[in-house]
This record gives sequence, C-alpha cells and structure tokens, in this order.
Amino acid sequence: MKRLITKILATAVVATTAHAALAADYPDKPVRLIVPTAAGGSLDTLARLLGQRLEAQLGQPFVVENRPGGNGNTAFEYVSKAKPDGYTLLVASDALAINPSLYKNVRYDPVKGFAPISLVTTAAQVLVVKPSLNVKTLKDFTALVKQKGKAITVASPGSGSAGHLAGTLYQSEAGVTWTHVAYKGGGPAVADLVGGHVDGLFVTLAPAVPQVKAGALVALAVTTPKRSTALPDVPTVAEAGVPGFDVTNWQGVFAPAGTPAALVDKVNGAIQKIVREQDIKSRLIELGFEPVSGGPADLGQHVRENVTKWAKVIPQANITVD
Amino acid sequence: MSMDLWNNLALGLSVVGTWSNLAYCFAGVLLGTVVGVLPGVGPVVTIALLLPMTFGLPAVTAIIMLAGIYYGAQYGGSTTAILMKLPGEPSSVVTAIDGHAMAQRGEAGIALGIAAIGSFIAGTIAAALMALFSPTLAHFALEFGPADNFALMAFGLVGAVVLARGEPLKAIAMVLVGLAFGLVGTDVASNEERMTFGLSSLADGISFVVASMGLVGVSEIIANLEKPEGERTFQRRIGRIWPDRAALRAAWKPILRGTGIGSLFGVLPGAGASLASFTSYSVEKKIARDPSRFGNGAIEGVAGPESANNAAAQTNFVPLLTLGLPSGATTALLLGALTIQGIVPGPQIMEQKPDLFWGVIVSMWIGNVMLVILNLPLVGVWARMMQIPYRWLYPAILLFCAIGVYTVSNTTADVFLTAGFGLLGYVFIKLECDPAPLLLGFILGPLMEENFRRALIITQGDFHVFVSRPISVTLLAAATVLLITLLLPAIRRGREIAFQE
Repeated sequence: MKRLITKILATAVVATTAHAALAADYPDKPVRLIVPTAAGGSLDTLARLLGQRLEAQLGQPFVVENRPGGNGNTAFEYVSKAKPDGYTLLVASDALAINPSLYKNVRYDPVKGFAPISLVTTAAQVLVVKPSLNVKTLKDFTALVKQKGKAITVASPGSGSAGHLAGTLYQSEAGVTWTHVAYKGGGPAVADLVGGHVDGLFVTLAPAVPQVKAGALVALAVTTPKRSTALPDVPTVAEAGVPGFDVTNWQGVFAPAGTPAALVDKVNGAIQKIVREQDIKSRLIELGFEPVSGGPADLGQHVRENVTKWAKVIPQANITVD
Repeated sequence: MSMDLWNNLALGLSVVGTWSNLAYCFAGVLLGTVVGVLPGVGPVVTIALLLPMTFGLPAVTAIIMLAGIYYGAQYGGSTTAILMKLPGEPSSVVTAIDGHAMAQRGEAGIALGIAAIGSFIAGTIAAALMALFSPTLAHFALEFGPADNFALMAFGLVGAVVLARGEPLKAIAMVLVGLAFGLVGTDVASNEERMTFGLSSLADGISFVVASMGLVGVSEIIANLEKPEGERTFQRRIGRIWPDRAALRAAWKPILRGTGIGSLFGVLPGAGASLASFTSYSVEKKIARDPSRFGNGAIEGVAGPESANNAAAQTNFVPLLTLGLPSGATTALLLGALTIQGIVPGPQIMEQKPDLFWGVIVSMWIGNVMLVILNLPLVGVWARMMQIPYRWLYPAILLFCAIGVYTVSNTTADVFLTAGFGLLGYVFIKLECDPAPLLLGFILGPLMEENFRRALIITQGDFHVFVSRPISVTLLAAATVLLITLLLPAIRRGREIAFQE
C-alpha cells in the first residue's frame, strides 16, 4: 500500500513537474559549444575554459566547435536555426550585436533568434599610443589629432571590430578625424604599434597590458565607464574628456530561441558557479576579462542595448559593408 | 654573452630534465607524429582538444607537451608528404617535391632520415642562436613595417618561380592563379566579401589544407589510378633510414644554410615560417651545379627546407612569446594555452619567466632527439603500411583526407572544395604545371595585399614608402634582379655554358 501511494505520488510529481524532470535529465549526451571564431582567439580560449568546467559541473562533455566565417555571421545563423533542445549553445561576443548594423544582409535576429543564458564576462578596450608620439594624456592626443588630422594613424584589430567601432565613436564624440588602419587580430596590431609603424590603437587589454607595463606603449584611456583592474592608473575615456563614453565588450552564452527555460536556468546556474571559482576568476582577469555574474535577463538586456547603440553609431560613421 | 648562453641552456635543461616533463614531451611528440602522419588531420584539432586538459598541469609542462605536438606533427606531416605526397602544411609542400621523388626511387628511408637529422641540427643551432640573440631577434621582427612585409613577400613570390619545375613562364602564371585563389574571402581593410559567390563557407577564404590536399595529394591519386596497375609510380620499398656518407656529404651544407634561413625567417611575423622552407629550396636549387636534379629526388631539396622549417618553428617562439604574435593557427592555439596558464606574452617574458622560455626551447631540442629515435622503429611500420595494395590504400587515404579537411572548420563544403581542387590539380598535371608556386602565391597573396594596402593607408597613398624604407627597397631590388635573371633565358643559357667550361 505504502509503495502504491509513493508510486502515485511520484507519478503526480512527474506529471506536474515535467519541466523539472526535463532539466534533471539534461544533459544526457554531449553538448556542443559553437564558437564564431577560429581556434586560438580569446573567445575560443574562454569557451574552452567554460566547456571544461561545465563538463565537471553537469557531467557531460561540452565540446567546443569552431564555426568561423563572415565575422561570426556563419555561427550566429547556424545556432539561431539549431534545434532548441539545449544541446547546441553559442559562446558569442560583441559581433552578435554589431553585425546586423554592419552588414546589409544578416540571416539571424540578435534579439529574437536566441535565448540568452549568461553574461559571462565584460572587457575593456584601451587606447594605446607609441611613446615617440610624446603624448601622455587623452587630451594631448586629441589636440594632436586636431592639429595633424589624417596624418595620425589609429589601428584596430579588424574592420568592424569593437576596437574599430570604439575608435569611430570617439572620433565622432571628440570631433576629430584620423586615418583608421585595420589589422587581422590584436597581436599584429600591437606589434606594429610597438614597432612604431602606426601611431595609436584601440585594442582589448590582454595583448596591450604587458607592453604598457614594459614601457613600450603608453596607455591613454580605457573605454569602459569604470577603470580596469589590470590598469588601475589609466583613466576612463569618460574621465579624460568625453563624459558618458562607454564601449564595454561582452562575452555571453546563448541557446537558440525556444529552448526550455528550465534548461537555460540549469546552464546559467552552472556558469554562475564557475565564474565565482577563484581559480577561473583569476585566469579570466589575466585574459583581460572582468568576470560578471549576469543571468538570462541581464544578457538579454545587454544585447538589446548594444544592438540599439551600434544601430545609431554605425550609420553615422558610414561603415556599412555587404 | 657566452656565459648567458650556458646559463640559459642549463636552466632550460634543468627544467626539462624531470621525469614528468620528459614524459609529457615524449607524449606530445608521439601524439604529434601520429596526427601529423594522418593526412589532413592537423595539430590544430589535437591541441584544441587537449587544451582544457592542460589546465591542471604546471605551465611549463603544458607548453612543453603542446609544443611537442606542434613540431611532432610537422615531422609527421613530412613523413606523409614524403611517402604519399600529401602535404598538410605549407612547409610539407616543399618537402613533398623531392622527398616523394626520392621515395619513388625507393629511398624514402633516407629522405625521412635526413629530414630528422636536419631538423635536429637546425634545432640545436636555432636554440643556441636564441639563447644568444633573442632580444636582438625580437627587435629585428619589430623593424618590419607593412611596406617591408610586402617587399619580403614579393621577393618570396619571385623565389617561387625558381622552385618550380619546367618553364618559368608557366610558374609565373601559376603564382598568379594562386594569388587569385588567395583573394577569395573577406577583405581586411573594408570587411567586404569578395569572390565568395554568396557562399558562407568561402567567407573566410579557402583554407590552405583544402587547396594543398586537393592540388597535390588528391590529383596525384587520380593520376596514379589512371595508369594500369603495373605502371603505377607507387614505390613500396622504404630502404634504410641512416643516410650513407655520400648523402651526408651532399646534405650538410644545405642543412646549415637552411638553418640560417629558417632562423631568420622564423622571427618574422606572418608568413615568415612558411617562407622559410620555400626560400631554402629556391636557394639550394639556384646554387646547385645541376638544378635539373631538383624535382627528381635531390637530397638537398629535402635537407635544406626541412632544416629551415624546424629552425623557423623554433625561432618563431621569439615573436610568439615576446610579442604575442602567432605565425599560424597552431601557434595561435599555443598562445591560447599560455594565456589559460596565466602567462601573458610580453617583452619581459624572458626575464619574468626564464624557466618557461628556456624550458620550452630546450624541450624542443630534446624533442627532436626523441623524434629521431621514435622514427627508427616507425619506419618499419610505414614499410608494412606501404605493402597494402594501392587499391585498398587510396580509399583509406581519401577517407582520412576528407575527415582531416572537415575538421578544419567543420563544414562539408571544404570536403567538396578539396575534391574540386583535386580535379584542378589533375588538369595541372596534364598541362605540366607545377602546383608549388601556386600554393606559395595562395599563401602570400592575401598577406601581400593586406600589407600593401596597409602601407598605403598609413601613408595616405604615397608610394614612396616602398622605396624610402631601407628594408623594403633592398628586398624589392633583390626581387627585381631575380626576376630579370629568370625572364631572360639568354642570360641563363650563357651562364650554363660558362658553368660547363
């Protein structure tokens, strides 16, 4: 009798909480983490770090799969059209929100196409210049650009990259114009700046900080509203001249739209725990990221804000491509 | 200075000389050899998969193992290039030319042996050079601006004409076709997609593995199958691995020259490492008394480029560790592994992490010894593998090619593209056009264009930059002179007569 009651109870519980049961079984096979860049970049490194810890937390392999192409568009489209069963996830950053304004045809919707899971990290960009330019502050640099105009060259890790857009935004806010020089990644751009072949560069912290510490480059300002932990003495652009200036890079995990909320919550819960692990935290900071713990709502809001922002900045700056 | 050399090397040796580091070094080299031998399956996928697992290892140990996979795979890749003419890396394209010709003569063993010995000697000298001159080398790399990079690649392209078999005009045409293929994909300056026909799989351009596997490897299989079984040029005999005295005498100078070329080119970011073996080959062919031997199994054509390649792989660590500049996908992953370990490349890494820097350098040297020892018994395995009838072997090769090509960016489109390049390569065989210059043009084309436009963007359209910079003007002048000597057959004929006298 007792057994029958428990059985009935159990059935009832299962029926009413099918949702929870779904989440309890998840994941029962390997999960794919799609990365929109080639293996080796900082987003790829972040994904592999996450994948390894997610496997430890959730008991199934989280396999990183690189689907580079079209500045991320290939991967974004692929995941937004994938089966929303929680077994195809996306690790994405700024390009997801930038590309719809940058390209005439993108075949995904950055807001409606995805179920946001976690905002994992944010990151600052830094404006660095070569020491021979003899400027120590953002104000001096801006004055120099006003004087010399297009003869000043400012590099970025790529056309349409967050660094390019941060520079573009700064030019329009400060009312100056320089010559933009696109590179293929932060490393080559930093090397050419150290070699003195360009004058300045907007780039993520990781490749720039060691050069700044060695005195090979001068850091003028970071693009986030708050100063960065890695360069505490460097002012923000907002402090140094353009109040309200904010370009905050972000990295987040997404599922295709329509993925059950219970699965989203489960992955989010695991990621929140991972980001708080001391070991992971310090490594993320070394990679130039600031670990943040934002759930689905935070990430969703972040994406929407970014989409709106770039939709305004990019047409102004006239940098659309096909 | 020499005190530094010994101190640095002793420090490195003390780091590597623990049982666990030696074991991980061996594991890396072994794994690298295995994935390198499988056609198309490259070190990139292997390192990417192992990356999370190295998380728990000490930093030096992790990098020693991953670096082992890197150069182990390069050696394994040479094995496949020599035995089966399936080059998966830019450097193996060069090795395949004379290495496979030697294999067809039944001297695959000697080709493999000289590749290992050359790599070891190059590794030894490059390690010593790095111990002495690393800071200078890092500085040298920084001197190269966009205009200089362009000039260097222009010089490399003219060199590609030297390396080709047959008519120089055909080689020039092939270089141009290669440049055109290289332009497919997204333009760096404007972010526009070009010649992609709206296919998203072409948005990042054609991958090197696809072009090289198709043009050199698959086309060779098609050409082989066309012949009746008895006439196939597939040699089953491997022969001995230790080169005899005559072979060593022919090889030692190319090994030293290759080491010099490789050490220098390896420091240059971008195409430096892949240019190293191409340049070494061109130099050997240019100074050889009888250039016609090249392409038909000249041992210098294996010894020089293989040494150059290994020296470059080693000195490559200078820009990688001091500037965070990867030379390709594999070193980009090593960079990722470093950052996961909390080591950020920078100018002070040699002072801050001397154990890591010198540990990795010395481990590469020890790893090369391991490769030689490892490959002695492996030759027996290859020999047995070559006994498999070709009708069984070639479908297996094609299968591995397809798997390898697929794993590069996880798209089936790449597999179809490889098949397409295979057919194109077959047409080239029929037209007697050598694919090597095409592949060099393919590698250098996009880099050249990128640097050319960057140089002009920086100067706002002023072409003077190419002649006002000393490095650039020297290289462009050298390229022009080389091109003139190639294009005036009269000069060449005159010189051949002079040589005969």
